[in-house]
Amino acid sequence: MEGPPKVARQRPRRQTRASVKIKDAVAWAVITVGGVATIAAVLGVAVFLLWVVWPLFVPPRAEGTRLMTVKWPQAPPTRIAVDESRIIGWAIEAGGDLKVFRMSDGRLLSSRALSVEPPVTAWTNESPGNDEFAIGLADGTVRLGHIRFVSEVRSDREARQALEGHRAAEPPTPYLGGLAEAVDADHVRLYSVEVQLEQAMETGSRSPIRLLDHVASRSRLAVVHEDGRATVFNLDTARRVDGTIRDARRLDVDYQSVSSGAPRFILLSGDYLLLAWQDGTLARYDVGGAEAKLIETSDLVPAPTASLTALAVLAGRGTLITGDSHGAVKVWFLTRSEQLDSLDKLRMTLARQLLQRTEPVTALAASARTRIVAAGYADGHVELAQATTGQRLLDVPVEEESPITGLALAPREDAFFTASRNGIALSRLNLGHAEASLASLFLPVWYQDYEGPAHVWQSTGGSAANEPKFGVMPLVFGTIKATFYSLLFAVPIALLAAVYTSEFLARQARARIKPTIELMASLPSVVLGYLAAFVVAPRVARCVPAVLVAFALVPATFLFAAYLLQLLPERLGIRLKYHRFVLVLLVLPLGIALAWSLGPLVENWLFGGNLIRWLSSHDGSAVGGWMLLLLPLSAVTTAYFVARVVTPWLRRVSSNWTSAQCAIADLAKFLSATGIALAAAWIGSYLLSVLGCDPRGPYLGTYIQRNAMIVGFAMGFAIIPVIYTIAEDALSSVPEHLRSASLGAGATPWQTTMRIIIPTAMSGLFSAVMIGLGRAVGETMIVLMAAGNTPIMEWNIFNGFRTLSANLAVELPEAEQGSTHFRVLFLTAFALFTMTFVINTIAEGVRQRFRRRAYQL
Amino acid sequence: MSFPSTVATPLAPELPTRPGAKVRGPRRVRARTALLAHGEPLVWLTAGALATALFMIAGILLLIVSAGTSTFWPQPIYEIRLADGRRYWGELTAAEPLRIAPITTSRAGRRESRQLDVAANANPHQRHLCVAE
Repeated sequence: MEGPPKVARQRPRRQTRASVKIKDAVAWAVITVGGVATIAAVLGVAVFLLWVVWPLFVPPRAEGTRLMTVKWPQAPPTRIAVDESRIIGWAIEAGGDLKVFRMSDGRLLSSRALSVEPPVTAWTNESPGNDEFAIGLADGTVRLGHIRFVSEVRSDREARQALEGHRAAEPPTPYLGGLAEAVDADHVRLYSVEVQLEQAMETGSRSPIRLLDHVASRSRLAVVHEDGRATVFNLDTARRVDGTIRDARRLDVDYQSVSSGAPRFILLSGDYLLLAWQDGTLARYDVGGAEAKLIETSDLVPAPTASLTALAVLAGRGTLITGDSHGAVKVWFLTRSEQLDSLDKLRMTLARQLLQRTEPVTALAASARTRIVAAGYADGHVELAQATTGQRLLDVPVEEESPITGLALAPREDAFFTASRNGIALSRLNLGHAEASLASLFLPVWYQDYEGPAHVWQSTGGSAANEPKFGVMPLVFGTIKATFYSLLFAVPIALLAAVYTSEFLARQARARIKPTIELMASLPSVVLGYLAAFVVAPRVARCVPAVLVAFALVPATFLFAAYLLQLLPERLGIRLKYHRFVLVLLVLPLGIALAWSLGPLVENWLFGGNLIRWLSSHDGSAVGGWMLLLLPLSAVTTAYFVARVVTPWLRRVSSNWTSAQCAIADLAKFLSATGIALAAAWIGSYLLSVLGCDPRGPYLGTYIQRNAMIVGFAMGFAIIPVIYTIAEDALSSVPEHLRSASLGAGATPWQTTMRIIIPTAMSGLFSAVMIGLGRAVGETMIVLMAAGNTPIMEWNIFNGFRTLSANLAVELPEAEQGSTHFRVLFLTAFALFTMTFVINTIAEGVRQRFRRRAYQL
Repeated sequence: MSFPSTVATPLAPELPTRPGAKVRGPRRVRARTALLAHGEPLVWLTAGALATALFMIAGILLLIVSAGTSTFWPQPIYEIRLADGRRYWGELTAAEPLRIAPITTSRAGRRESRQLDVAANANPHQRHLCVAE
């Protein structure tokens, strides 16, 4: 900025004084440090956010495999497990022998037969997330129970003595079929495998058990005998004290109608029994009722030459993982569709293919907690994938050309355990944050039980059955929706109010009114949110039609009043102009009262007497809903048409008219334009409803008490003063000589405002709106309290939403530090940061352009 | 935004509004009234926006003050007698018209009763009662 040149009275001093130089240097240093520090602080925020977010995208790593040779007297085991700390593991050999190993070197700690006589013929597959276990015997009986790892610290003198000479660096010492390590002078930690099997239970046939599955939480047991009988038991009521099962709660499953061969896999999932055959046929029976009903059959392996070689289930038993002889691993779950002719409108659907290799899949394992799937192949490789995102994580070569027969993931997902004919192997893993990938965060993902891919934010599933759903888009959408509706309400009011204040309001009134409006900004947003949620929302819910009518009617009342006042004689009109604002203040309650009384009428006329019921139902005429949407559109179009065509024409024609004639013509123009706007909206609505279009669904829907309209209104209190103050300052700071010149040339105040003041102040008005926008994007408390916080993606103004900022406020206190959820929340914080940064940068750029223009004046 | 070379349109309504167009003096026809040029209705619209903003701030301040200070002024206490002789005292917290559904009465949707929601302060359990009268 250059000040006015000083008038030189005396000879200017040649040299700057030393004190000035010092002050200059100090000021330069302070300003530079401050400026650089500001930039550094902002960048530091971004860097910190990225630093927390970064581990989400670190690729998973395999950290080495330890091969341990074990001689299997019979076939290598198919069912194996490893404990949480990867110290001890077990495997069930083909004959039903349970072997316990030390995982550091594969040393056999104990071996025992689960049942000697009669021999074991089948056992349940891994059931992720619990340690249930059951065996089927050759005489057709079943023994239920569990296998679990026990790790306990005991003050056991005997064990302590056995550990004498054991050093801390060594692996735990074998002790009583398990392992022991010293904790301190008296205490030892004992690791063991506990097997508990109940009494043998009759299952109605003496034929050996071929397949069985048991779900303890539902007390359900399913068995397939060698003689082809398949039975499901509901154990809650069916088991007698002596262990036999009553026939009444027995459901016989006749699978011969589906396939004559014996099934290869059995699985209980919810109320369904799934049987799968070698050729990929899957039969789904409903076993929740009095008898087993076949609901559907599907083909899990469509290729005719391929066969189903492995089947696993994810935690919660809702998602199937299949592996076939062509090396494909696929994810299946039930999806709902109204078009289906199956009994329950559900179908087993292929959601995605996880892995593909040329070798057959020989073993599958699922994580107990998350959706990690491991697949063992015939060439000794193990591949890992995330079942929700479909991301292939790792390919680990474990064995050389020796098929993986048994596979298990360590409970903490930091290792997997394999068995093959050579022995066992433990491979260390670092999977990082497999639940989130860039694609799964920002693109639709097909989650279990959904009809198709969708953007979903549901960061905690409640149980292992429901995967966490990290779709960020609903939150971004919520932020945009909140901003859009808030600005739609606040910007017109704030800008128009600023124009009136700076251009038409008397100086003394301005000095009082401007601080009053700014007072609005001093209300804490939590108060606004509280009032919106607990005072405004319930009241508005009782008079929605009146509120909607008010949005249209109140501005129309102002216009109508002004047109009416123009009819007054010119002298009186000019005198009244000095009291214009008082009149406006009187007209406002009039408009509100009018809207209040018209609301029920409109509700009766357009919405069958109850707007809220109309919105949530699907009957009744659609005209009213379209009117809601089309009226603003037709009003804006008509106003534009009037401003561009009718008013210039009227000016041309009316040059010889008297003032009164002009006023009448003007009023007629306004009334006919209003009529045309209403008629156009009605005709459009009528045509659309005749064509069968209904706005309920895509644009309108059930009225939720806390919705975008309430948020828009409450956010108005936060935004209006900001926009108003900056806009008013911008308008007032337009140089007075421009205003005087325009008025002096004969322009009316209104023309001066529209053509001189507003264009000149455009940069200021624009930055006012942009600062309001920035405030709306980052606003937390109002949306947190008044928006309902449902992360849905609908433009419906009567519906809630969840913004990025409210989501952070809700979830960050509960998120486990360092978890995927925690890091994804930081990612949303970064997204918010980026949004405001981009908005502000664009705003600044546009503002500079406007300013350069304004300076050219 | 570009500015027209002249802003004197109210006095010369037939002027071309294109920027840069030359204006010839003799063609000017002085309008007899500047009513249209004053754009009074639009000024009213801006004034209305200011009035709305003031109304909002005044409304919310009144709401806060009235709801806040009412803590110090007790509301009238109502007494409700039940058929079995029990009596409840309490403040009226909400009243709304009860719309009788078409199923229960032939005159559909008529506002026949008033529903009182009484927070019965007299009983120790702070029970809420709904009363239709």
